[in-house]
Amino acid sequence: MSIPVERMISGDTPFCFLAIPMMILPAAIAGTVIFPGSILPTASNPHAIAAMLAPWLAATLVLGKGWCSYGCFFGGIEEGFAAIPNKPRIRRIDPRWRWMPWAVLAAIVLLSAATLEPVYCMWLCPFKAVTECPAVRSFETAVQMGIFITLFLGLVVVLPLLTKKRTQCSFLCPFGAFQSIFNKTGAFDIRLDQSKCTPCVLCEKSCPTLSITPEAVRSGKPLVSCMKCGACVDACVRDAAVWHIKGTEVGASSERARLMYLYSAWAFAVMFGGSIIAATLEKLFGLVV
Amino acid sequence: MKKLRSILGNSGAVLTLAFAVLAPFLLFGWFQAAIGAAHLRIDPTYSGGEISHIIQRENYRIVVNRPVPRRSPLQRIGPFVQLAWTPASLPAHLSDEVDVDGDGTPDVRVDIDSHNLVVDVTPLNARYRPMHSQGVTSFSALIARVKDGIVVRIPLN
Repeated sequence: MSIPVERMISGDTPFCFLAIPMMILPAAIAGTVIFPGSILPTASNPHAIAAMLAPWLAATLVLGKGWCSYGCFFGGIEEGFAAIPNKPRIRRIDPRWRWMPWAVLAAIVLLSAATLEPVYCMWLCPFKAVTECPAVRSFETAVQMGIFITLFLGLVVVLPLLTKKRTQCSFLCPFGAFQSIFNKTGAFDIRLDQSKCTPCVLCEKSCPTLSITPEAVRSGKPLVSCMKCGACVDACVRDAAVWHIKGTEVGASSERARLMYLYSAWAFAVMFGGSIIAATLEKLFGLVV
Repeated sequence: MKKLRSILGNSGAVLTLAFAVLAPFLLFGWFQAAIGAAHLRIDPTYSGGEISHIIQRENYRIVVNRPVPRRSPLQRIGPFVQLAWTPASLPAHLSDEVDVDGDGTPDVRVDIDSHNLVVDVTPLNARYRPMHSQGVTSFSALIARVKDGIVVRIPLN
């Protein structure tokens, strides 16, 4: 599971899309990618940078922040933990925490450009605890591993169990904040039809990323952090939360919008997750046989 | 105006669906080719930099890379130069005087215990720093078995 420095030097490190926001400034200024691996796929590294950037770019243009719902396999882990309890133990969350991913994004983009290191990957990514972490060979890597495990247990396991929310996505993930920018580019969004809304706040309670607030309900749109998962659409008993094709009247073609968006999203989810599911099944099968 | 916006919106939605369905078959290849053509390269901290010259010995060769300088005042990884001995089936102990900068005079003497991956570097030029390393100390001072060779990174002053 760990990646030794030898593998980083040899160019065999699989690329992780979470590093994308940190790569942009150094790539634009110096033409270098501050992540180990290779640009084009090789026999020893099929998950090279271009091989991973291409599906991300295509999915982002289509789904916007829907990537976090249908493309991000890390988010699935906390989604799973959030689904376990019947009711949340913690209901009241200070809304100011919503700004945290933006602050982390700004900090890591600037720090990565200044230090020429993927700062988030090296110090803050909770998923390093369960994916490709640095091999623990020094005090520094031991501290890094301690941070990864603490953040993973806190934000991906414990808090989702207590709040029934995707807390890592809501309070830390800089990539999610980065993806929010692309919510403006897609053809689809979620709308809250005020003519049908009571408001019962079921949508607000069901939103896994705290993207629906009383103000958002009044404005008829979730916040820009909405990852278009459709939880609010499922929760709303009056069909006030609907899928929407931008430019069209709200509620006029919501079923068509839902089907078109979900077909697009599932096309990416199957394409992206298919190989991972197949590899997992192969490993599980290998353990049994 | 409302109707025009509706037509544009629906057209965008249809194009989105077509884009999503076509992406795995056509667009990924195009995007990948475009990214490949952008002349990006992996940061030399990881790749070791470009090859400067190759020194041929009787049973092996030494690939000498260009020095990798510190490129930012806040960069934690110091300047280094990467040398690689290939193939990996080297003698158990070897001692080489290496002309790193290609000026015809040796710059460092490198003693390698290739079985235990221990290296001793004695500078013959003030630009290079002495090093005794077993395994990976940092990105700028290490000995590691990488693919079919042994890579040594020597820190620079």
